[in-house]
Amino acid sequence: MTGDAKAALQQIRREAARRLEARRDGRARVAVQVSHCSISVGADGVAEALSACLPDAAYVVQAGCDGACFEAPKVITALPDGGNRRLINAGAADAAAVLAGPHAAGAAWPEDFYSRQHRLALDGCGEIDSEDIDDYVAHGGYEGLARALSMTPGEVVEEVKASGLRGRGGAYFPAAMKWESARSVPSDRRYLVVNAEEGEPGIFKDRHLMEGVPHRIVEGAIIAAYATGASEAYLYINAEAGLSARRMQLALEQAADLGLLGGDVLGSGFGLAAEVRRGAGGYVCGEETTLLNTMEGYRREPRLRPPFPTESGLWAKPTVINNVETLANVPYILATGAEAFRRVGSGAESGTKLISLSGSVRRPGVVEVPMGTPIRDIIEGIGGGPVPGQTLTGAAVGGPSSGVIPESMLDIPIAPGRLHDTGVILGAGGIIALDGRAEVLDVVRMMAAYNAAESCGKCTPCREGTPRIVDALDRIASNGGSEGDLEELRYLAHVVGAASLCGLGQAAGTPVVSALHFFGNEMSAVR
Amino acid sequence: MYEKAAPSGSRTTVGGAAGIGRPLTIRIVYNPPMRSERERSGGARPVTPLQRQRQSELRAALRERFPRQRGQLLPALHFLQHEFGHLPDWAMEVVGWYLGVPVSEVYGAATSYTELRLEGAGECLVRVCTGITCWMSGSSGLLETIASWLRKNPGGGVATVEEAACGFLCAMAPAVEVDGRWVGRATPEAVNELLPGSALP
Repeated sequence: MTGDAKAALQQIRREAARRLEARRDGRARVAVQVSHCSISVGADGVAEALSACLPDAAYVVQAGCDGACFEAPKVITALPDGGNRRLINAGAADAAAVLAGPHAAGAAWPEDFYSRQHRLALDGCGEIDSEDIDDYVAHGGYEGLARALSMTPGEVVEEVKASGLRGRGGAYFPAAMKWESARSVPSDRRYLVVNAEEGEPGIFKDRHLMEGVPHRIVEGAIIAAYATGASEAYLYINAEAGLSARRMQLALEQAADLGLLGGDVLGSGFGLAAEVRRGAGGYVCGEETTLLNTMEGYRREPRLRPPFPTESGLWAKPTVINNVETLANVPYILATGAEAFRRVGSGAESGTKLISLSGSVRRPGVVEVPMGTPIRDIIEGIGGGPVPGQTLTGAAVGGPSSGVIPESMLDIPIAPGRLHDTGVILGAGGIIALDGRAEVLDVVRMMAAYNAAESCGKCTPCREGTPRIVDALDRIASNGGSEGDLEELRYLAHVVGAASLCGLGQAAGTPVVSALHFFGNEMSAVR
Repeated sequence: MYEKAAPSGSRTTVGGAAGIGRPLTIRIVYNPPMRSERERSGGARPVTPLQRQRQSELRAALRERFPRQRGQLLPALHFLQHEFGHLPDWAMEVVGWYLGVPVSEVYGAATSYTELRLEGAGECLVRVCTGITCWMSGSSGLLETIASWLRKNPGGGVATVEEAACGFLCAMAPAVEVDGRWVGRATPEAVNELLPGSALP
């Protein structure tokens, strides 16, 4: 069967190229970057206006946002003569400028923003037509899948193991080990769940991937399912991410039409059914076992582990749960080999990390950098430093399960696991640059209040402890608090962290601990 | 056929179990109620013909869309929220009946998800993101401005203004959602354009 999958993909590629050529027909291709973020500043209106008023010499396609959210809405035009035009912060009235006008009005191409990145998962995002599988195939898509299908599942596991790929959802568990352990449990059926419940404040990278390169995730999911021996895949997508769900659904349908999903993937004999499911909000739903409860129709509460989902997951069957970004890296590893992936990143940790960059930066957005890149390079190099008139005071890294670090520590490189002994982690990769407008006490209170609100209530330490952390912070904010309050904060953070059932509670004290460690003087100076 | 706790059941006493010597009382209901009666007894409130019609319409709609599996609970609740804007009690009862999930557990699940609403919002729902980045960009002032406009001029309807923990639009801060439409880099004026009857004084 080995050569069959590659031959089948060749055939698909030829047909895709033919269809694309017929569509292009010597016209200009106008790609409007339509995404959740750009729609909020009118990109859908721009796409509509362009479709309506462009002459016959051009056609409009919808791409995702390329990560440069600060330039949205953005339109990239490929002229028939090979030239490119780029329109940023476009309005519906700018249609004429797309074909004839100059480059972006008054803004130079922010070279730093792109040149300091290393784009594997985001490759082609913002240019590839996100609603057309042909465009992805022409971009080298599904090559990794064809190669995977020509190997045994065990060989695929070995390849990914050799690449050193770890889960990108925040826990950084080696991806191939999950696949292997689910595969080793005897069962009549196994499941793959794609965790796209991106519910962490300050994180928006999975959404960018799903909106921009949905087929890369489908491809990664099929490879993961093949390696695991899963026969059904569920894409569990955040309630807020309507556009992501729509594009992923479309991607699944298109893949099925071309024989990349279904009973016989690329003629290999391997079968996979896939389905989109929607979440209903809640940070804790991103936790693996909570996600399983949600899918089975129960309250959003975590389950005790063990058994781990790879032994007994969805409907008590072995289940692999992979994050969107993790899967988006898999096609590259299979297509180019583990060695190429290992060469990216720092010596110890291979690959790249998507960072959701926001807060006090001139160029907020989603960026992809090699593991080991210092946080300062991301904030100042790529992000362009603090907004005018402000100076950096620190950064909130890794969301409400992590903490805050001061400006002096921004030189630490990003890495899986702990960035500092206080429990500050990279997590899913959110970096919020802080400046003088943000009192650390307020930032920490916000994180603590979020954890308290999101606590599901199942276990007592988290349910009772998280609101008390907020209370203690409030006392400090209102009257400066007492030494006892600081003491209680430390104590609560310790107890909640040590005794809670799932990751939300276990990390709920980290913002407080890190803030007291780095900003203790400043916090008590509030009084 | 019997139901454990049906109110109209006649009572029979049977002999003690496992020789403990204590009589065990169970209720046996003869002539099990017709399905429609059972459904009616499941609802706490009297059911008018109009409500009954609504119920059966919803049942038909559920039957069309969802297999009768517990795993369909969340998709079904999403469907309700989409149809009604929130989760009415009677509709959650129908969902529970249809999927074979106790109504208490339907309610339990429904209340645990932040995006599901048990009560209808006003005619216009405004959510202002007050996450860290949005808040640094001045969303609290935005919230105050919008709320005060709407207080003065609710546009003929009832508006609900809420804080949202994060709209995942941190790169477009501050962000405000008006009736499902997010506005990035929001200004009071831009939000105003989406408010009913333009609330701007």
